Amino acid sequence: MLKIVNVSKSYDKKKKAIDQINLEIYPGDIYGFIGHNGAGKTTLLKAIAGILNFDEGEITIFGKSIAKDNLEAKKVMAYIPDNPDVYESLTGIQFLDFIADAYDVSLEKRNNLIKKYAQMFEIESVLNNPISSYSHGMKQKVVIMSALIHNPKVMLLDEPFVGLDPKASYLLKEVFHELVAQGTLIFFSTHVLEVAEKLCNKVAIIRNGKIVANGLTLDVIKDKSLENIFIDLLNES
Amino acid sequence: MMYFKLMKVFFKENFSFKKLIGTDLKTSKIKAILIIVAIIYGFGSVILGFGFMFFEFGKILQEANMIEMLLEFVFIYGTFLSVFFVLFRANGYLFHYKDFDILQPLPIKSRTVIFAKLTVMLAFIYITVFLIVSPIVFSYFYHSGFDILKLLTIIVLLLMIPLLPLVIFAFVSLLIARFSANFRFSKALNLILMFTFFLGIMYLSMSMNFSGDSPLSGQIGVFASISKYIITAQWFKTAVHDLNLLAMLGVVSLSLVLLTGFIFLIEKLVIKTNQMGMTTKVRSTNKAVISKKREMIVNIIDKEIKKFFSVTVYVFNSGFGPIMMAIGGVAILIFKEDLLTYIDLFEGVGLNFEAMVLLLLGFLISTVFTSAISLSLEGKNFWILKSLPIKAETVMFGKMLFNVILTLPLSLFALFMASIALQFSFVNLLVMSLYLISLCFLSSALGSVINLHFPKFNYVNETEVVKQSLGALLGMFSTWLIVTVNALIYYFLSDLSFPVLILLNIILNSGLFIGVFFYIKKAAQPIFYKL
Repeated sequence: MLKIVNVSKSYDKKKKAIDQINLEIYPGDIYGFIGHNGAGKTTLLKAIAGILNFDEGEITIFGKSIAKDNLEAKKVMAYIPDNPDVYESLTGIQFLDFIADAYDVSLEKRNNLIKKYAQMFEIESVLNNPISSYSHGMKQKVVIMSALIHNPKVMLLDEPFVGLDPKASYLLKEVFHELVAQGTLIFFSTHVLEVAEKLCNKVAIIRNGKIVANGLTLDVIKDKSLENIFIDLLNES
Repeated sequence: MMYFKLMKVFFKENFSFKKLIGTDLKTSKIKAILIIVAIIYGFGSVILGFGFMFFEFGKILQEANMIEMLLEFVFIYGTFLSVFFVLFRANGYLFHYKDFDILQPLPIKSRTVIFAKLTVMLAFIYITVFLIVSPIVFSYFYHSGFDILKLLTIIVLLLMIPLLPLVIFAFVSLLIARFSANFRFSKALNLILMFTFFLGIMYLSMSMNFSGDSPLSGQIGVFASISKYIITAQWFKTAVHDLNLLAMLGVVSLSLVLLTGFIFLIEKLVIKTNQMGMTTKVRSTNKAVISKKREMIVNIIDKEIKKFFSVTVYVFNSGFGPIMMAIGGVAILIFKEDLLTYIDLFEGVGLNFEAMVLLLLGFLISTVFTSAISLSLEGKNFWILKSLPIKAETVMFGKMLFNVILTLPLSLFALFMASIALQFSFVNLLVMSLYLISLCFLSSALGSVINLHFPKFNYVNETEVVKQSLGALLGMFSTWLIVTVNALIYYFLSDLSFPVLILLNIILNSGLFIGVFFYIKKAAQPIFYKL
């Protein structure tokens, strides 16, 4: 499971980008992370992924601390950023191989997964081309494939549906369901409240670096819509 | 006026203090001061060196009553620099500018935007031209006597010199860009073009007459014949030297008329080319997608190689050393006889040519500072390495080894060629080879440590990292420092035999390398996590 205990981070030592965050996410959860621009969503996701260090608290991934046991914690995790900035000088397949080698994925397994997801996202024909020739959506698909190539137990995604066409968005949601059925936990940030409401069994709302609501989606929204809850919480500030 | 508003934005984008020195004075004063000092040192040494050559050259010309020849040098150097800038920048500044999508929808006349873009490009050219020709102008006035009217004429005409190359070579720049975009290896084509241009200039500069009093005297003939065919060069010389107003008006009016016509002429073309965009042709293959499983360090090296060749400015700045080693290695065999004649001349002076060869190769190795900037060049992609379960030391060693791959084989090649031409003894060749190995590894490792401590991830384009980052600067200086220390050991212990002296330096370099290697092994991971 992914456990976040009292995590805080400040970029300028004055204002906390995330403040005393506590969350527990279990295998099989699709956890939506909602907040306004600059609320601290990306900061928290990057801290979990080991991209950003944090000032206080502890983040453990299946018992491994991301701060102390960095490499072991990362081995079961995949992170997809909000912007697919990837190595443009590599071809799609070279990038996927690079990621697969980092996770020590066997040739047989990676070939199967690459074939499966390349067909699914319809990018088989361009995998031999340099990434620099890809569109934004194609790059996003390659990044998603790279995250799926080692069957991660923890998936962290920052605005994963931005830039994807409707079909790819639908397919990604299908992949989410497939993964959680296998025991993967998914934690993703989104601005699309409808997606969070329909897709996630749990949600957390962050405002100015602090979690202001979290739990089962049904418990959080009760008889309202997630949009109403979100606006109400923002207005409270 | 919209033109001035645009200029303000463009100048901020291109000439801001942070952009020029690569760091912010407010956030890192020491870094900024270090860079400023290094820039002043770099420019100072070039200008002073250049200035001294032209000062001596001016003396010779004055004695021969040919001082006006210096004005031909001013014109030709100014023109060549302008051609170079326009050739490599006009496409990006005019025909395919990055902010087209922002500017085009705004209610601003296209002509205003083009004129503002042109002004920024010309500002770059003027700064360079004024800096480079100022020592020549100084030499001219020192030897022929100062005259304020002549100085004003020179300033006005220097403002005109880049305009003619701009009008002609802007189109050449566009043609090259569009032509090379049709090829899969367009970057390689651009690189070959850039290197050919530079090597051509070097060849021209090297067309020296060593038997004469000045190394520049060999260029007189070349420049005189060029000037003969360029009417503006003759007008320039007459306008300044004889204060001929008609000649001055000729240059000014011709340049301004051409510039005005150029702006009107290219207006539609600029919009069209920007709308078309620049996409390099990608050959779609029906080849099956084949995966390969490799060691992570091999992946990192492979990625570094691909990155290196995909960024023109990176190859051009860090690849010049290896190219010079390769060319030098071949040239030393071809010009073996000439070289042996010079060696005979210097025999009595007590110069050791083995040491000179090592010094020269050491200098060339210092110009290959990829390990000092390659972490910075991860830029927006750094999240990939940080989020993957890869040891930081593996990443750093991969980057370090790439640097060794760039420097070591070609430096050894150059050394072997030199040893054949200059008949080094086997023992000397052996210790010299070991010395180069120790220097290449130490230089690469030092670069890695420098980049770990002075990374620069926020940049608009790679030029800021390759040319203006502290990592690049320190990377080059650190190797110079090592070579200097090695040279000092050689100098102060010169009673010892050559192989022993070189062995001492090998031991020193290897010891330092081992220290730096273990430092990277220990410190890379925690530093990586904090970056």
